[in-house]
Amino acid sequence: MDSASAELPAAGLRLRGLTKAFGDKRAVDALDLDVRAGELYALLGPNGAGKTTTLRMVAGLLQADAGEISVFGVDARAKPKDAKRITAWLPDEPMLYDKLTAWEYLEFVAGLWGVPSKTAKTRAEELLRMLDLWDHRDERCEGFSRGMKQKAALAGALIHEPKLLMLDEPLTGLDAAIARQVKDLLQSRVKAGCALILTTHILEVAERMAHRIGIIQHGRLAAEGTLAELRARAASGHTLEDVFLQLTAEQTA
Amino acid sequence: MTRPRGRLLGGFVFLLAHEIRLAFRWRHDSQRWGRLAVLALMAALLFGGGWMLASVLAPVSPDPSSTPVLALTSIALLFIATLMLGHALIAATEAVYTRGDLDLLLSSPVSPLTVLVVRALGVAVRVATVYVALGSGVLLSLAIMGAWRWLSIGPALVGLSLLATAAGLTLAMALFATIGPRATRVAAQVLGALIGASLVLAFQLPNLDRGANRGAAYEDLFRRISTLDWPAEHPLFLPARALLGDGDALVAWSGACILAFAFATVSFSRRFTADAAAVLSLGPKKRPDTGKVRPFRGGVTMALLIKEWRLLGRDPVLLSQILLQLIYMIPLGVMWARNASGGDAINPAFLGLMGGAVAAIAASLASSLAWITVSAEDAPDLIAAAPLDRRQVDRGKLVAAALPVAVLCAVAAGFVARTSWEAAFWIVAGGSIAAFSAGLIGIWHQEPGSRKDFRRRPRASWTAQLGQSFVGVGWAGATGLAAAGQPIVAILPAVIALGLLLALGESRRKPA
Repeated sequence: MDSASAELPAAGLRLRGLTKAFGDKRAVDALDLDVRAGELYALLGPNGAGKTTTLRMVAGLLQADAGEISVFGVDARAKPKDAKRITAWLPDEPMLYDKLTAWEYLEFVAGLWGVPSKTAKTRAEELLRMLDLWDHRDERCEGFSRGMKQKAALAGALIHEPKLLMLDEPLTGLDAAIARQVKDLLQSRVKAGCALILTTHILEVAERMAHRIGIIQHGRLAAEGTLAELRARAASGHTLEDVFLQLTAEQTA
Repeated sequence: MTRPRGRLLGGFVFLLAHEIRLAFRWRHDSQRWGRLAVLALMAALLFGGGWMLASVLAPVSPDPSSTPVLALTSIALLFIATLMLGHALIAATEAVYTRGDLDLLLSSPVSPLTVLVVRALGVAVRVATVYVALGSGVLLSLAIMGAWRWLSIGPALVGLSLLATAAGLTLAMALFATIGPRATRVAAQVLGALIGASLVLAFQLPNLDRGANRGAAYEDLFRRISTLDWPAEHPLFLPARALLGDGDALVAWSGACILAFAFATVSFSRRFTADAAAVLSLGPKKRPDTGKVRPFRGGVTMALLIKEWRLLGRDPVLLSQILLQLIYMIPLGVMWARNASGGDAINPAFLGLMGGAVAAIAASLASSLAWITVSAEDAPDLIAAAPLDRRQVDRGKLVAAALPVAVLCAVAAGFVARTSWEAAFWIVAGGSIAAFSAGLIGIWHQEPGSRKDFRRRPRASWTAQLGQSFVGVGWAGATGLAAAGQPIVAILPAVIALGLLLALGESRRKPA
């Protein structure tokens, strides 16, 4: 997917000078980042680098100290409700209600995003069938495996057909078959014009799926580009893991 | 290969220390000073009250040979024993069957018997601590005054807590064997609360007999006690004699309690591993929910209401814990039934008592519900990421917490309305205001927690908690006074409650 970035349309997500500090520690430090519509962007970085904090600020879960967040042209800091309407956020721990069934969960999430009831039903059925959860729609989420929970949460994130999709470690703990289903669904959304940003520690996922990769460290972008561009910059190593380790080591030094 | 005894004992002591640390742990270090301040205040109050009580007791030498004294002491001990048993049953079920660390402990080299003995001792320590702490003020005062014979109260209560723990373990085991692991937790909650309140409820029995004179019924009970011709050596008087300072009885009572505790623990250990395995292999219910339920329609507030009430309705453990707070409405209901049946006008003081109690219970219930809907939200990020105003969410959660309580107040007022419309109005108004105030404080001073930890739920801060209690008391006082026909006087506690509520609103936490 190395050559895809050049033809992609304008920014879906645009961050400028985004900053967040917790006490004395700057978790995100004047971060500039763009993700285009129809682009899958992988945000990599060591633990505590600021990946999740960045996504939580975009999702409106944390107040930024400074900077700009624009979601498909909507100023998310000035008009958070408008930005949230077209955004979906899926954290690493699925946001589910154990005592609700998968169907009820999707109905509830659709209600929160104001999706009309009839549309919500159609989309819920489509998503549940696509993710092989249709036969489990009337079961409570508490009885689901980790993979089923992740799929149910993903269905919830997609029910309002977001333009910007942000996923934090979406494939952690999933078996190969479920991971494949999730990847296929995500790529179909990207093809449909969604801007997708995901964080992952599974570098192979970024290597195979992402149009562009950003490596964040100490709250700043240490490197960004297609896999080929990053390889060229790192000079040594052929896998993304080699590149990642070299670039993060350079930044630490 | 045999393990050295020292290592075995070391493991036991280590586990016991861990168990006690868990039982009395503080959630945040930041709360340490606040808690210390409250503990110091409580200690001062206990010591002050204890000193006054000790001043009365110290000149009197306890007489373990007087039958009426022993009979009255036995009734008091029975009252404490029911409270301890209720507490021990719930704690034993939680410690043995529902705590999440069983798989870790049972997969370690520590023997299951050691795990069980430590758990059981942990329960006994928790139960004993409450009652010994409550009596510590008077015990310390008596020691200072040199009235040593009264100090036997302490070891007698510790013995009683061991006995209550033994009975609690046995009951928990019987429940597990009879109704299975899934239902045991709910049944233990309900049974524990009923046992704890049983003697209070039993004392309401004379109120059920409309024709009887209640005062005469209690007089008759005390006359029977004073003329009881049992000898002081009667085995049923053993705990009372121990408590009143009879040395031989104290030794015998302590020995009997330790034996009962050891017997229950050892008998239980035979089942413990199998029962624990049954608990650990227990998955969540797989039964599909295909029944007709209301869809999430009607706007965000309605969706939040349906969600909160459905989650609560599907959690029998949590629901039972909430509804058990209503158990204290039973004596009120009985007293009301008796007073309302006479046909005469009801005493305004009684109407005031009813009004105050309903408002106090409303505040407590709404506070619990607000914690569940606000602080124990299962998916806070989902709600925060949704395109909603914070106020919209808060409003939905407040209504979800306070509306059921307001409806309960209306039901209570419905009974009162047959006698006094004014009192009924004040009960609905006061109860609802108390409930909404408690809900608001829950929103302003939320502290994230898990629904599973409802009984040991974290509190935002001690000042917020104290403030919430005072606001509840203020509204209860105002409601009681207004229901008793003193609405002008009721303005004072209402203004105080409102002032405190506003102050708590001002000190609310700002979002990150």
